[in-house]
Amino acid sequence: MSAEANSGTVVVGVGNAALSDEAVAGRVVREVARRAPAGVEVIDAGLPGPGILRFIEGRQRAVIVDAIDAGLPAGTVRRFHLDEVVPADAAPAMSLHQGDLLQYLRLAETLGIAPAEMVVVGIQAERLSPGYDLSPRVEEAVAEAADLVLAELAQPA
Amino acid sequence: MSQSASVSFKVEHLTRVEGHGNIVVDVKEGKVTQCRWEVPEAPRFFEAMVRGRMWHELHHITSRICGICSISHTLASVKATEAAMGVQISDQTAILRRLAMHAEGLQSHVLHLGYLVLPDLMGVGSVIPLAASHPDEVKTVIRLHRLANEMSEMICGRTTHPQRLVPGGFTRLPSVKELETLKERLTAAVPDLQAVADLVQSRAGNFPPFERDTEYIALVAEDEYPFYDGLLGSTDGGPWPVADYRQVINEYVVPHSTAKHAKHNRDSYMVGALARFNLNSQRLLPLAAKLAGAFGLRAGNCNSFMNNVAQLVECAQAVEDSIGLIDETLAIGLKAEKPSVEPRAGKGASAVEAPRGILFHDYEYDGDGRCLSANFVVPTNQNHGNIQRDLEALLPTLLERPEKEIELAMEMLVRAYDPCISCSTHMLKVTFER
Repeated sequence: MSAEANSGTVVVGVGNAALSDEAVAGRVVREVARRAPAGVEVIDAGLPGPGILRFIEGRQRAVIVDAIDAGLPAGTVRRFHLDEVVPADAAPAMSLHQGDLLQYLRLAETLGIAPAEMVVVGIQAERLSPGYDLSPRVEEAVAEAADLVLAELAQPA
Repeated sequence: MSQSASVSFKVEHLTRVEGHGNIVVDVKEGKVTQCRWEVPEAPRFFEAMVRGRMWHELHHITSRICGICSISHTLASVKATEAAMGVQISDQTAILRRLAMHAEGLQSHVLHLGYLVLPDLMGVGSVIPLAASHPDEVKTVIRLHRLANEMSEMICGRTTHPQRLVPGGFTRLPSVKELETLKERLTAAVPDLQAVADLVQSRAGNFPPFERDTEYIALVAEDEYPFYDGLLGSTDGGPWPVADYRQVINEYVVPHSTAKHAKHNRDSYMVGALARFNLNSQRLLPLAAKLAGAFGLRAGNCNSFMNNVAQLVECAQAVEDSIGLIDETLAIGLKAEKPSVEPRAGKGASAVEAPRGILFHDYEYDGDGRCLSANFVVPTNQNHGNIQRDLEALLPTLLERPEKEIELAMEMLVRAYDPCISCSTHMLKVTFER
């Protein structure tokens, strides 16, 4: 696809770089940035809280990458849409960065400012203690998650 | 609830605040036996972390104390280092630092008011249902938040954890074109601010009419409503030089909280937007003063719920003052300057007004510019004692109400302080539909 065709696409990695596997999305988007098609914007957003909205607003397509806790084996990579997950029943429990990322994405949908195509690539975390290294199985999942994001980008929007 | 009834609840991990705090209430036969504000967060040891680190690293490390007010921590750090080493800065640097403070203040206040307070006022649990019922207003909040974030990027190089603010000045300046664009956008944001103010005002009756005579502490200045620099002021005395802060701010520990508490003249005091307003309201610019007037907010107000309104007033102040600061900079012309610091042994203390209140950094350096000791006094810790006293005063006035209403009023009181209890994070919790 041409750079122009990709200009409406953004890849956003979310997570705390200092909490072991929480850093996995940052690692994935760095890998994606090296190999992404021209025109795709790749952002390592850290902990944007509601700031995620400004990265996705006005785009045609957004791929969000984050560590997840879905009770899966460590390092499992899952691609999903918002409507495939149960809305957190703790909906009121919204703070600026504890706020569930999915809630902000749902907020964007409710307001009609979400990209038409929005997909989350989640990597099941194992260790969340302070530290800068990924646990071995999550480390192995970085390449798989990056490939999945790149495959996503290769699809027409 | 009648006076003779009993009520007991623990709001564990209060929502829509930063970090973890609990409200514990126990009322037996109309008599309050427990009313406690607990902070169970783990201590973070930044003061130990910076010992032995070099002067040019400190502002980058201490920025990480907070993900919301990293600009305040950076500037408090930079100023303390400059005070310790006798570094002078240019007028241009001082102006640009003020712009950086406004960017952060606007960002933080809009976030607090729009995402955390408005749901209380509108009677919903979070901003999500608000987006369905008031989409235009929520979009306005998002637009203002975006502007503030982009202003941070323009001045500081990043939204969070600024890179360009260093001892001695800036490593890189915004361009004239960027400043001109920023001014246009700030000017265009005034109607958005007014829209948020109108919405808050339409529901301001939901702020309980609670008053408790309180000491307020904030920076004061003769010629501005200060965020970046000033003397240490209190409604009970002063002003004092910031270097004497240890004589004013007395920190102490309590058994039920990992966070320190603080007091000065009384058993507690309050910092933050309402404290700044009470000490400096006569120096507000016209737009902010008009907004305060519309809400009937006047100096001497001692209703902690009105801290929310004071934050709104400060949003207007940030926008209006920023426009003036940009005009001033453009009139003088931006000049390239190279920050210059000669490390030397010394001690230096500083204070800035972070969004949540006055913030102190205090360092001692050896002759190589290595940090020997550091002390940080952060806003929320200064407020914990006052939150406790407020809760104690509010609870007895609520006992006639149903338990859920008591709980909500007490939660709203804590949220009004916009407490930033910690900066931690939690990964995404996902349950797939079966």
